Formats: sequence, structure tokens, C-alpha cells
Amino acid sequence: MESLNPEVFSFKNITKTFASVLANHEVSFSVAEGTIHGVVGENGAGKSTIMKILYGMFEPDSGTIHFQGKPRSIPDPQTAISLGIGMVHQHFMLVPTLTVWENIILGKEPSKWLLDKASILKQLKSLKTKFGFQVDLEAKIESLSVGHQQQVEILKLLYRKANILILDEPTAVLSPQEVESLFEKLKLLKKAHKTIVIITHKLKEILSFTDSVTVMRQGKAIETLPTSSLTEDSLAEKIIGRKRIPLNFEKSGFEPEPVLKVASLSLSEAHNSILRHISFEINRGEIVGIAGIEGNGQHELIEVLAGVEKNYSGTVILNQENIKELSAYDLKQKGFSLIPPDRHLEGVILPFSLAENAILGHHRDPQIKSGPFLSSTKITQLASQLIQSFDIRPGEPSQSIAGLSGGNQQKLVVARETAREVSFLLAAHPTRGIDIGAIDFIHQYFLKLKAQGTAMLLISSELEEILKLSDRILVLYRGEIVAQVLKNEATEKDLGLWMTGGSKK
Amino acid sequence: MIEILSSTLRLATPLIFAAMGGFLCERSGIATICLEGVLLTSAWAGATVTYYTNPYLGVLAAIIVGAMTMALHALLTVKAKADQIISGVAVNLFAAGITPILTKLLFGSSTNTESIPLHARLYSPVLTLLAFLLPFLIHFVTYRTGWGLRLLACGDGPEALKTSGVSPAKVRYWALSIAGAIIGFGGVYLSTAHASQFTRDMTAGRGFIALTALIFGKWRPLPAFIACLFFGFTDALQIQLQSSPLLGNTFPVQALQIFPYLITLLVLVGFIGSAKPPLAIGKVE
Repeated sequence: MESLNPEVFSFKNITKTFASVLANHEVSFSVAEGTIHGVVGENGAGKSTIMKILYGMFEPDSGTIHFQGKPRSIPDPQTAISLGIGMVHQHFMLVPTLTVWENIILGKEPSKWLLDKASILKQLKSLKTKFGFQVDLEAKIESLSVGHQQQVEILKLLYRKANILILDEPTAVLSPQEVESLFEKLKLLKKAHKTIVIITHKLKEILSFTDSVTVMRQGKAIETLPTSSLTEDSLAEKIIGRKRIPLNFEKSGFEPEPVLKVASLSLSEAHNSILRHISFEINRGEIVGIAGIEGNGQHELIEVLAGVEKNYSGTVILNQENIKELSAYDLKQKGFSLIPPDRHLEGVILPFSLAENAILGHHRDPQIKSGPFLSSTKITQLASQLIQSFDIRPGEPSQSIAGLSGGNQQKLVVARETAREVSFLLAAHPTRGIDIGAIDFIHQYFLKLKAQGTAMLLISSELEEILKLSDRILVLYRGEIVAQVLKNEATEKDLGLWMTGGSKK
Repeated sequence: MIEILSSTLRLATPLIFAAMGGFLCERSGIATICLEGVLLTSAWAGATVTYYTNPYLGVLAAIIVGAMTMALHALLTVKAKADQIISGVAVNLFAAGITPILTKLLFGSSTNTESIPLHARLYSPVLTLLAFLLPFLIHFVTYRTGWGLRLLACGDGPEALKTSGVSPAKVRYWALSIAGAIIGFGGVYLSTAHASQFTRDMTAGRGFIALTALIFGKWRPLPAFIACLFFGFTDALQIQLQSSPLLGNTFPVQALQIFPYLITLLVLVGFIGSAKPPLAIGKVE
């Protein structure tokens, strides 16, 4: 059906290298006009690079772009824009202090001199209603939700008369409801004969919203095929290039023996209550998931549980001990472990070596010391052990960790934090931004810890991950637990509703 | 009373020019601690050219030299990607060093140029009037025109501006050159209207006071204008107190002269925390 549409652009043998890294290798595929086309692959597969080449941000080393059937060079974004190509970047490119309408017209103002606000607003309003956007044109960007900011980005492209819209990981920051509403708008755009290219690593979205897909792996376009011919498993296998290992629940239950008890935990900052009367328990061998959109109190909850934030009311009991008087270091000695939410900020120190990163926070451990000094031999030995058991590549202990992929960096964090006996593991966004292979590995490992009796609190913005691993799911909304469900009672739709304050349970 | 008022207007004039130049520069995302240096080079050029030719060419020379000095700052920060504070310090030091050298070469004394007789000097109320209109003009251009939109975007989101197809570097070259020209008016006012000659380091911290006024006005042209008037007033008051029989004899003059600077210090301590500078300031691309 879709193949009846004429081709709007295509890549022919595009190769692009950065320094010595091959980002795109002989990439060829084409996209038909008026379709929603997915470009899917793991991080570093080259999917953003190839689309940025189309948008004129990078110049290919070799190969050609065909635009409407003719070879065309696109040396800069201005050329791309003039051809009707627009791109919404993963990190929004908006000026936070300016209003919506100012951001939309920026760079393409009707006049360099006096701006006729009334006529600009009129023009934008008709554009807005045509495609079902709801954003307030006179609001300042910094006051808008990410969903609305994304609408502004898309409106900005439509104002520039873009016919090809490239969206780079558009759903990474959206709630399930916002994702729905985004794709509704994209369908309207498709009806208006716009071509939409979505770069993503989320399989579900590809399967439910696209017409055709290009799978990329290690810089190559492996295959381009109609979405209808794919299933989630077959697509995942094409992306990682091998069969997926099914998750192995050795033990699905848990022992009714509470490890962590949180009772009526509340926290206020500058008269805003951030956490409100949170109570829950986690048992030995139980995984409790916390679903919620970021910024609803997760950060503060992590700080309280990690012993960093002490200004709370209520009690937190870990292994029969109140943690109020315990420092972050004391907590670690008592079987608490944390996989921090932001790998680059709190998980690793990028310029440090693998070995140095392997002992972050454990430098007082006598195991790696000789006398009062750190022993580099012992540290290397410890690091090599972790590298081996977690299959971290490249696994040279003296190498800087910056050279590793996100997945391998995260494996080192998980390895380090669980190297000792852990009775309670707080895993915050443990698989954010890493490849499917590493995600599978870490999930599998969590289940192993669970079988050994570790109690785990999993905080994640990926509902799929929460649903897959948790025995019980709590929904956090505006600092409050608004719902609590058991694994088999939970649906993604309900959770999404609760997460956005739709209703309580 | 009238005396203080007219003195306020005269003393505020160079501050307004400098603060408005500073506004354009900072709003484009470049820190501008070099206002002092730009005032100094343009004051020198204004006095020298006025002395040899006429006041009109003197003003023109001040504008050109002001723009060139600011363009040097632009070149260092935008092209060479130098730290904006370091570059500002360099421009100030350069100005403080080059002006006495040139004065010595031309006039034989490193401390001052030849005095210009009153009839050969600029009619100063013209410049004061211009200074009082300028903030309104800049306000209008910044908040009502396409150019202004680009300037604001450049200071608060240069990346966004770039993806919208406008080069932030270009906006900054323009903004800084125009800023330099505007500050040039302040410089020529100092050396040919306020005084009758250029003297070494005659700006005496006015560039920094203008910068303070800009911060005090939260990086907006009209409030910054009011702040300049306020600082002009404190200076006028200080001068009045010096000649007042009440204090003049018992109080050391230097203690009175410190007054405007003391106010500056207090304002900075009290306001710098709550005011939000343009987001891109100080960031090297």
C-alpha cells in the first residue's frame, strides 16, 4: 500500500566517520512521501547521524542524498530548511525566556524591523488549530511542560513550511498520554501529505505508529521493511543482531520479611511539600517498582533513602534500624546500595580509569589497601574481577571509562554497587539510555539478586521495565503514592493515567 | 537643588551610554567588564581628534574607536573563544596602557592631552539629550523588532538561534560593534564635554558603575537607565557635600568621593543574587 507513494528522499551509500569512529557505513535506504517512517537501532547505531546528514548538520564523507529523485547536496541546515526539511532535536532547541510565538518565528521573522504581533498571532493560531495543537502562544517556554515544548518545536517546523519532519527520540521524555497525543498529531500531519521520520529505540512505538522501518546496527542500515511484517521480537532481534535471552524468573515470590519500612515520610522544601505521607515496605527478595513522571518526588525520595537528605518527617527503618542518624557511608556498611539515577553525574567519573571507577565510594575498604595506602595492584585485581564477571568491554582496567559505551559503563556501576552483600538495593533509572543487550543483562542480574534475597526498589521512567521486573508497583504523583497494584493487576494504560494525576486507587 | 539636578544629568550621561552599550553586549551573551576600557580609548580618540580638527570629527572618531575596541573584545571572545572575563580584563589593561603612550607620542606628556578651548568643544546638552532618548530607542528595538528578538535569543539560547538558521557569532559581532559605538559617545562626552581634555585613567571606574547599573536594572534598558540616574545623583550629591560649608572642612574629601563606589558595592551585594543574567553569558561555545 505504502509503496504506491513516490519516494521523497533516499540515501545512497552514505559513509561518515568522526575522528576514527565509523558512524555510518554505506547507508542506503529510501523514504516514501506521506508516510511515517521509523529509524530504529541501539545507541550509537548511527541513526541520528544519518538524519543529521539529511538535515545538513553533518557532511557525508562519501555517498549521495537523492531528494525528489535528483542527487542533491545539503551543506547546511539552511539548505535543508529551504528544501522543506525540518528536525526536532532530542534536546529541544528553544529559548526558555522567550514566548512561544517568539520562538516559532525566530530566524524567520516576517520583518527584521517592527514585528506586527497581532498578525503573527493570527497566522500561528490558524496553523495551530489546523493540526490540533493546544499550546498557548503567549506563554513563556520555561513555564511549559515538555509535551507542550515539543508542540512548539513541531509548530516551528510547520511555520517554516516543512514537508519532511524528522523527530529525534520524540517520546523519551513524554508520559504515555502525551505519546498518544503526539502520534495523533503526527497522523493528522501525515494526512496533510507530510513525511515524518522518527528516530527511536522504542519498539512499541515503531510497531504501533509507523508505516515502514529502517533498522540500523553498528552504523549500517541493515534492512528497510514495512512495519506490518514485524513483531516485537523479530524487530528486537534485527536490532541487536541475535536472539534475545528470555528473562528467567527463578523465583517469582518473596519472603514476608520486611527489609525496608517507610512510614509516613514527608518532606518540604521552601514551603512546598515534595513528599507527602509516603508509606511502604519492601520484603526480602521483593522488587517494588515506583512508576511516575520525573520530578514528582523521585529525586528527593532517593536522597532520603540514601541518607543524604535528613530534613524529613516520618521514619525509615532499614533492617530494624532507623536511618535518620546514619550517614550515607554508614548506610552502605549496613547493606544498602544505590545505583544512582544519572550515570555521568553520580555513577562514574568519566576521565577516571575503569579501575578507579570500580572503587568509587569504596576507597576505605581495607580489601584494596596495603597499610594506609591504596594498593594499585589490589585495585586492578578487583576491577578485573568485576570486568570479567560482568563482561565489560573493552575490559582494560587502566583505560579511561569515557571510551566505553553507556551500557558497559552502567554494567560497571551495577557491578561495583553489588560487589558486596546487599540487603537493600535502590536502583534509580538503572537502564536509562543503554543498549538492549546491556538492559537484558542487567535485568537478568537483578532477578538473580532477587533470588538471593535482596530487597529492591526500582525507580524508572520506563513503564516497560517497571512492569517486567516488579512484584508490586507504586505510582508516585506530586510526592504522593496515588496507587498501588500487584504485578499481574497492572496495565500500562492505568499506570499512565495515575502517573498524570488522572485518578487514584 | 537645581544645582544637584543639573549635575546629576551631566554625571549620568556617560553612564547611560556605557550601560546601554553594555546592555547590547551582555544581551548577546557576552560578559562585558570591558566597558571601562572602551570608554577610555574613545575618550582619548574624541579629545585628540577634537583638538586637531573639530568636535564633529571628534565624535566620529570616538564612535569608530569605541566600536573597534569592542570589536577587539568580540574577536577575542567569539572568534578566539577566549574566556569573556579574561578578554574583558585584557581590553581594560590594553586601554589603560595604550592611551598614555599615544598621548606621550602626540603631546609630549603621558598624563594628559592639550586642553581644548570652550568654543572648540562640543555643545554638551546635545549628547545628554541623546543619552536620555537612547534607552527608549533600545527598549523599542529590543522588544518590538525582529533584530531585537534575535539579540535576546542570542543571549538566552544561542543554540536555539543557530538551529533557527541564524549565526550567533554574526549577531554578536554586530551587537558588540554597535555597543562600542554607543559607548564611544560616552567617552567623547567625558573628555570634551565633562572635561576639556583627556587625562590618564579619567574614566575612574565609570565603566564598572555603568555595569553595576545594568545589573541593578536586571539587564533591562529602562530600569538600567533609572539606575544610571541614581548613580549620577549619588555622584552629584558627593560633589555638593564637598563644597558645603557644613562638611567640607571637617570631612576628608576622599571619604566623600568614595560615596558612589560604596553605593555600587552595596547594590552589588544586595542585588546580584536576585538578578538573572542572560543565560549564555560566560559560556564558551
